[in-house]
Amino acid sequence: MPVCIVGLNFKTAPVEVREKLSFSMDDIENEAPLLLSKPYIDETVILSTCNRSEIYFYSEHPDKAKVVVEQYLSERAGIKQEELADYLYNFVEFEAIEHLFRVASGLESMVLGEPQIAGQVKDAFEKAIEIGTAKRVFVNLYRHTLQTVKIVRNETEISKNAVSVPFAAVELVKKIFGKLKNKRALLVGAGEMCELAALHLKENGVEAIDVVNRTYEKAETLAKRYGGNPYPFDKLYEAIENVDIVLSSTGAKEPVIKAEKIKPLMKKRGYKSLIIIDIAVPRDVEVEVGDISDIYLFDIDDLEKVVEANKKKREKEAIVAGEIIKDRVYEYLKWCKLQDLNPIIASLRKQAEEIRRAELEKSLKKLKDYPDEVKKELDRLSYSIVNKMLHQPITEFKKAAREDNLEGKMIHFFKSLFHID
Amino acid sequence: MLEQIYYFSLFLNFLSVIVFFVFALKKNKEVFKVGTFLIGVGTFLLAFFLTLNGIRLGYHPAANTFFTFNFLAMLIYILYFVFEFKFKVKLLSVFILPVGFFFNVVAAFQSKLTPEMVKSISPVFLGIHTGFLLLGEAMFLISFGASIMYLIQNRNLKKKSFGGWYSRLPALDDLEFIAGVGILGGFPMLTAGLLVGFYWAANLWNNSLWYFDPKIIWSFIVWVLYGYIFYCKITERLKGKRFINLVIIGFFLVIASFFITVFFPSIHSLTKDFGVK
Repeated sequence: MPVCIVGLNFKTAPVEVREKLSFSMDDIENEAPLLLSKPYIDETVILSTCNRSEIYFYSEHPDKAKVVVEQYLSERAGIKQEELADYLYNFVEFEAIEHLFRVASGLESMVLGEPQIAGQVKDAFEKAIEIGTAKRVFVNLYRHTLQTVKIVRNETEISKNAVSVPFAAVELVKKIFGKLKNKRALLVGAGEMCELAALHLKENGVEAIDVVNRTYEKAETLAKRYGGNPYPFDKLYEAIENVDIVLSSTGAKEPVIKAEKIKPLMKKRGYKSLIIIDIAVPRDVEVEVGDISDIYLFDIDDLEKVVEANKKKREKEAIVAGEIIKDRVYEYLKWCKLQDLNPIIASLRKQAEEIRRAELEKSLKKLKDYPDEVKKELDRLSYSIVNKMLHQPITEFKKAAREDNLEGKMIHFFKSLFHID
Repeated sequence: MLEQIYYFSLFLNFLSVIVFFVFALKKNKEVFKVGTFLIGVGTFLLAFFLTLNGIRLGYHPAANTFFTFNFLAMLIYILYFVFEFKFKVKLLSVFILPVGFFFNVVAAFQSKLTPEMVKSISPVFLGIHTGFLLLGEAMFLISFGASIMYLIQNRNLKKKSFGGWYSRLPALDDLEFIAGVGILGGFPMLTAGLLVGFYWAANLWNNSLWYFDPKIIWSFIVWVLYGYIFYCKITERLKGKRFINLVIIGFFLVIASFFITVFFPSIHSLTKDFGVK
């Protein structure tokens, strides 16, 4: 019985179609049990984010179940089934599980390797377990998915390097200072990107962020938010003297931070490193500032360059991650096969035990007058013979499953050999 | 048999240096593990070889260039392990180990004979004197390696080249910290080694002008420079690139001190006419 997917994502369907098939958590709570009640579907999980909607289901008849799910989606979206089929993809068994692992690891995301999707997958499975549409198979698949995400994150650098401008700024700062504890930053002006970078800096341990603004009130408000000091604009260089990182994005037409004024400042600072990140266009900082020793100046193009380099790195890592995921799918399927054997082995043992008990009782009746030691010994003897006889076939059977040599025919043969249903 | 152990260790160390260069290019963790294993075994064998020789001779073996250089190589390898374990900067291997191997291999071409004079003088003093100095110099090498990495990373950041080694090299401040640890640890060793040497020389050659020896004068210059770097580190007087530049200059002076006896006659020239008249 295979795991299957019917779904669509930002690559296959435009937003007009995706929005019609998006599910809120409440929708899932109402509709997943409905889907489960339809024929051929034994378990189901619905994953819906702004970039994708996917129905994971477990069925003994994947082809028939696929039609059921497609029909359901077509009704829900109000799009004809033939028309909707163009937007949908459908995977079964190996490919379906591989797809799930790839999605959860961020390999199918718009921003390669983004980590939020793992949380969304988690929410979807946990919801399904909560409302009972995910049972034995999907609960185990969920466990394997989480493990896979963890392995991919640990063994590759897919989610490691910054792929947005504000994060790239933080990454650069970390490449110079290492830890950001006890560092102080200064926000000059208040562009959106700058504030975002400031926020990330704060999250990464920067002690306080001072603010310089042409409107002093604005400086006060922002400084309060980041736990720093406000400065009026004419105290700009005084403010720079006390900080390690400057984030600048003013609307000024001319540079506001000048090399001739910064140079004497460096001596006063005891040549402590200073990072200046200039996100403004036109630029706020004179280019010559970057030539001063111990000053590291980055403009918006530099940050974009970091982002581009990191994206390339992620693409390379994605190939490695894809290989890891393939291995994980094989492992999962092998594990499933072993799980399938457990009930067969259990009933084999049960049947053998029943036979033994029956025969033992017969004999005990005949040996009524013998002492208890003899009866006990007889019990031990029969038990030991049965177990030793069963040991080898069971071991070989499991071994074949582990080594992936077990075909359906062989399982059938094994069952008939021992007369198990 | 002893000789075979030595050459086998030399071979392993050579292989490990190659493997670490491959690691630098391919950034494969498995390759790094192989390199670590090779240098681990190589270092162990080298230490074993030196110990056995020490036992056989009955004194610290650093009495001729062969043993001195090998002893230094061993210290460098061991210190590399300590620093790698502490700071987890894998690329340090590429900057430290080749220098260790340089001494390791130069040693192989030196005469293994020990001058008669050295045998007759105090082996205890010789051991302490060279032991401290070599350990100090190995510490300076760690500083030097971290400093070179600092310069590369500083250049990456200044020139905005964010490919290649940019993401693999650690943060500037972390590299400066490692360089600082090397100085803080190395300078006291250097001082101790020199003091022991002075005391020993003063006792041995009490009335002669032993301190006009080129190596001793050179060592004094090295000591003054490292003293200044040490002072700057403790007082945080010099930071960033200025500090790093001094560390690099200091290390070149150290290297020069090893080879100064080749060009100037010295009491440290380990030849037949060893010692001042």
